[in-house]
Amino acid sequence: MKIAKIEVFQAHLPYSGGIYRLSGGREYAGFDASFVRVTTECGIEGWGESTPFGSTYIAAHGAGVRAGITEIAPSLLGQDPRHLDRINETMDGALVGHNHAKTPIDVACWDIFGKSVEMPVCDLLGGRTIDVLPLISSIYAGDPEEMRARVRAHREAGYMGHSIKIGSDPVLDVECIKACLTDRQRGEYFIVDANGGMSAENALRLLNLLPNNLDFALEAPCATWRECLSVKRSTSVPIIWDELAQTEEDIVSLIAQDGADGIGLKISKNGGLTRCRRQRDICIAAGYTMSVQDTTGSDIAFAAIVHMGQTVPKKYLRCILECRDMVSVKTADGDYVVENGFISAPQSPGLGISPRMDVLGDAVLSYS
Amino acid sequence: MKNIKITEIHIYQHDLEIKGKPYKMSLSEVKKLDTTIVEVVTDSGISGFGEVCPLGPTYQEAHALGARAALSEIAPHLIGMNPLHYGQVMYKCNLALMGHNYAKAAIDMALWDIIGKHYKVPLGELLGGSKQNQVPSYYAISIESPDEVARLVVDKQQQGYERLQVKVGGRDVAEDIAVARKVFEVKNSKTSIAFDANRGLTTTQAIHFSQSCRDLNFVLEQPCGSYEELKAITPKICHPLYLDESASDIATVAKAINEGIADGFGMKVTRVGGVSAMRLIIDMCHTYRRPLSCDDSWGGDIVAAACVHLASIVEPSLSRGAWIAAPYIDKPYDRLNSVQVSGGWIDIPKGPGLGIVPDTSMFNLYQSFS
Repeated sequence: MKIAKIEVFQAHLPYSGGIYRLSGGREYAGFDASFVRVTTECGIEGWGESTPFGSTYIAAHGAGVRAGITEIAPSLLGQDPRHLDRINETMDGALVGHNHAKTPIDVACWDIFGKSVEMPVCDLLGGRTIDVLPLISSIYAGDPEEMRARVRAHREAGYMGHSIKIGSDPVLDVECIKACLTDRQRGEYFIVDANGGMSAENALRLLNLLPNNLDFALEAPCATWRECLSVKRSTSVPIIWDELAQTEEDIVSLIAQDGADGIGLKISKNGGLTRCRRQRDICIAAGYTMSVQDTTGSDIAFAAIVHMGQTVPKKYLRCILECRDMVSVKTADGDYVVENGFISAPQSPGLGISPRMDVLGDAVLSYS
Repeated sequence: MKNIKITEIHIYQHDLEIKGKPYKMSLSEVKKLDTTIVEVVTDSGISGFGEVCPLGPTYQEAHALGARAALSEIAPHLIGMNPLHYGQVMYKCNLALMGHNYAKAAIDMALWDIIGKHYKVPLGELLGGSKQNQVPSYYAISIESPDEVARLVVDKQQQGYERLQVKVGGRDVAEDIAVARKVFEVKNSKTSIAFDANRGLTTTQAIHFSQSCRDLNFVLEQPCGSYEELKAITPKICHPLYLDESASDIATVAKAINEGIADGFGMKVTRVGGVSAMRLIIDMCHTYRRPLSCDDSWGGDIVAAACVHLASIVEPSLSRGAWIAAPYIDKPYDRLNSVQVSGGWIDIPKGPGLGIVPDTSMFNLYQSFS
């Protein structure tokens, strides 16, 4: 089986909630999404998506995704898309780093692999667990009571996990956290996520100001390794790494330095399903929990999240991100039905999605 | 003080053909390089220039298409800002795009060029004062057989080079050891040698190479890919270790010094974020007594000028000079002030700012913002 054609499509995905606010004054009204269609000589199509969270969440932006694909795509023509490790070696040989550009190609090849053997991607990644996957909400920063109301709305929709965005000022953040956790129900999981926006000093002040019976994990308190390690060593609150854990090497270093209790495994940030599979296994070996997410994205990115999440044993899985909720455009159809805040990977081959070509339009880049 | 404003930013593309044979390193080979030039135009009639030229897409996490994509993302946010306030402008760059220091370096360089022209002094003077009128260069010998490397060593010594960097890695390590032995048969006593593997050795190979050459006095540069690998070999090798690709930013440089990993640095101006970042790194190297060179992976006269101005402010006892791509390039951007290596040394441009007046008509205009 050989890759005959690689095409890139682009779409603007407006944020469904108006303006998304992150620590450090970062605001996003919408996202620049790139989609890849890989077509084999025998006519099988595979799809993948890469949608950076604005241009200031990590070192990734939409134009950079497409610049990276331009660099990589020609070298993949003629290769067997089912040989995923070889595909990734070729990509690494064409461009160092740039996980966000490699991800949609990697995911599209997994989609093809699944279709070619009539198996869902999760079964190729190790096999599905018997569990349904709990969804995590994404509660952007705002007024404490208003954030509490958004948590409540997600709870009513069945969500068991909530990611509370903070990082403006320790005193105000304390109020937001307390408000969001006020109505906490049995079995709910809370992440307090600063997205790297706090100094180590502010992170420790925040933790010291909080009553000590609140049950949550602190994610990405600071922007640098040194600061995050310092916070981890000074607190009993579980520490989750996200933006700073992007590669296998990062995760191995993190484990060696006992720097975390878990990570946010984001498909495009962490380099696609091939690399996420490796990172998943490294995390399990070290006893790290993970939430399976993406930087953001629409239906195609969500499909990859669900398939990866479906392979993580319950003990280590801390929710998956319903990124479709964050954007107001539907880019594909498939058997991805949320019931009471839970979802399972579909049984259909590959990712199990049919892209909406009227939404994706014409290819902006094409290699054959 | 008169307020000046950025009115336009032009991004240009230009192909730098390599003179002679392709340039070969352990993990890649290049025949021409795709460079990006940034022109920042102000309302005072002054324009500043910056440049970034990744050494292909696999030398480190940087590529030409990515540099231009990043610059297009950033440039519109800078129109109307005061270029003399380089700190504020660079902060704005970070608000527009995270990371991509190599692309931002071209803007930073252009700002310093404007500042120098505004105050009518060369960049080296602005940065604390040049300590020398010339800086030494070194010659990088690409992956070759032992005999060919030996021939080039003799040749370059005759041309006046006192520092030679020899590329190794990506082949049987016995061949690299043979190269090292051969080099020391022909090198004269005042030539200093660095063996640079450009990340191409495993830790086992690096340790074996170093221990097999224990009696030879050289520097081992960036033998392995990651910082963790370098850390692992540090107690097991017999040679001073210099970091290049792994010295990716200011924080890593600080860590490598503190953890006793780096004995010195092959520093790349654009990788770490430009002139501003390099100035801080030079101060750190002065404080901790670590030698460094002020290089870039590749680039034309603009990058070369930034490298030599920076190298000129390094204390001579710690200076490992500057590597520039000029010997591989046929057509300079500025025939009058082109930065060239002569007898192993480089003159520092004397004009204000970078001291380069590029002929922009040789470049392809990629995008303009106003």
